[in-house]
Amino acid sequence: METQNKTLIQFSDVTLGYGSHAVLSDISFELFENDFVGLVGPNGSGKTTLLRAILGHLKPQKGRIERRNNDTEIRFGYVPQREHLENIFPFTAFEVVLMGTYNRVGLFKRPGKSEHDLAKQCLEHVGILDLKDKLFNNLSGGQKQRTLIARALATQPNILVLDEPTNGMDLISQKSILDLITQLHTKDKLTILMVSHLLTEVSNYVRKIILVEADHFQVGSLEDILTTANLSKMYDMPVFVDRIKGNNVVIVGEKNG
Amino acid sequence: MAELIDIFEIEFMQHALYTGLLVGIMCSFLGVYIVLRRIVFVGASLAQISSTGFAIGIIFEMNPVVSAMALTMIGVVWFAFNLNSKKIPQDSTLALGYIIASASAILILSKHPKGDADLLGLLFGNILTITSDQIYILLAALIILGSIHLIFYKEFLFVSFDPEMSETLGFRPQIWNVLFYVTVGMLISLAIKSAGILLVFGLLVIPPIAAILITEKISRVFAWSVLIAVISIPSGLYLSFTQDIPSAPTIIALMTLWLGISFTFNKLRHAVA
Repeated sequence: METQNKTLIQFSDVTLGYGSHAVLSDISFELFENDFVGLVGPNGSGKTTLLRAILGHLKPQKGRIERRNNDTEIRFGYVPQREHLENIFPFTAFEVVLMGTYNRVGLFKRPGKSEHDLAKQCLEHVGILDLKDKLFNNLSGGQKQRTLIARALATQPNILVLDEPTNGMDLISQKSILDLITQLHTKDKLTILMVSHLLTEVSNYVRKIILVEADHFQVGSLEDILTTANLSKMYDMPVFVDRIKGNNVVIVGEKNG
Repeated sequence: MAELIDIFEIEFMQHALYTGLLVGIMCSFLGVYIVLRRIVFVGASLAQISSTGFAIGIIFEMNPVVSAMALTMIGVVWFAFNLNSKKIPQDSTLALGYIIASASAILILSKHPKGDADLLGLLFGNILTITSDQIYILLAALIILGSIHLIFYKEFLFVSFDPEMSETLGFRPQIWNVLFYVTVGMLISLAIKSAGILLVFGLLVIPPIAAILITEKISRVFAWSVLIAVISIPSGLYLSFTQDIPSAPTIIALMTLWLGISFTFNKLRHAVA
């Protein structure tokens, strides 16, 4: 019999927004330990707003957000979109990863030997220890993403949150990064929350989906969400879910076709 | 060399040297953040706002340093909370501050008997008429601002590079940004009276750009930036004295020479690599 994992974060009738404007209304869902969740929706649908609330950067206008891990503190390993970084700073890959240790170093202090060792271990874990002295700005998209994942791992997280991790990458790099994320989930037992606007891509890796679309909010297992009937009803047009060579493919048909 | 030492034995030249070095060290260090965070116009706008504060001090016969600092701090708070507006682009907000402050300073001083001279003094400074008290104030500022930036070196760099991640780790980027702008505002309002807008802005921008072209390691960028300022200031003062030319533009010309050398070095390094 399958046992239910512990709840890490619970949203109860939460409304999120800025000022008096609500972006997402009355949403409820739970994130469990060892989940592998895709947060999917088009740009401007409220993904970032929801992500900010999950990370604790945005307080709800209404409802309750509870963090329920009683044993240990919830620690997020956050991988932001690469475009959001000030890429002109001349940091090496190692210096970027070292930033992940700053929360345990504390104010007034500089990272010591144990933090340096941890940063190197994280770089090795994502397979780019040989790039540690290279300038972050000079790395390829895939290498930068691995550096940022290593930095997130250096925070020693129990939830890894990745914002559009494959944006702007070629197919090979995309697969390589998604395989690495899957490995972190299966081997290292990390809870993963991956934000993306690409339903097809995400559906081939995650176990659960949070679908955010104008006026619609759905949370469920991949099997429940990713069906032709459900997606067609949600988008109010024919959306077909099929499998090609073992991979999910989502195809949008003509509305009056 | 003996002539150089002789010149800096003259009291007013000694004062100019100490002032130049203190202002130079602080501006070239903080300038690295200003250039890397792409907020160069913050330096220009705060310098102009500070000069308006001086003008208010002169007209109302108050201590101009106090009025300059007060107005600069208002500018700092305004920038800290309005630079990320979704409606008005960052550069437009900064340009707004610059234009309004410039016009205000000219208007305020236009009816003052020594208005033209005061305006020229604000633009070019008067590094050769510095008093010992002004030097002690700048030294105290260097100690305070230097300590803040050395103690919180990692925090300032982290929130500048990646505010989102820093917030996730419990840092408060908004608070660090306000502290950063406060230190920049304090520096500018103190430095401008002695060094002038032109030299202060030049020190905030030219040495950091030259340093970024010389080295690819962040800690060395700070070191090179300060070094370029520290070399250019005595050389510029010496040339200014011996050739009877204005000191601020001479120092800027020497720093520009450094910029040219750095640019060439950077091109050669990438051609060889």
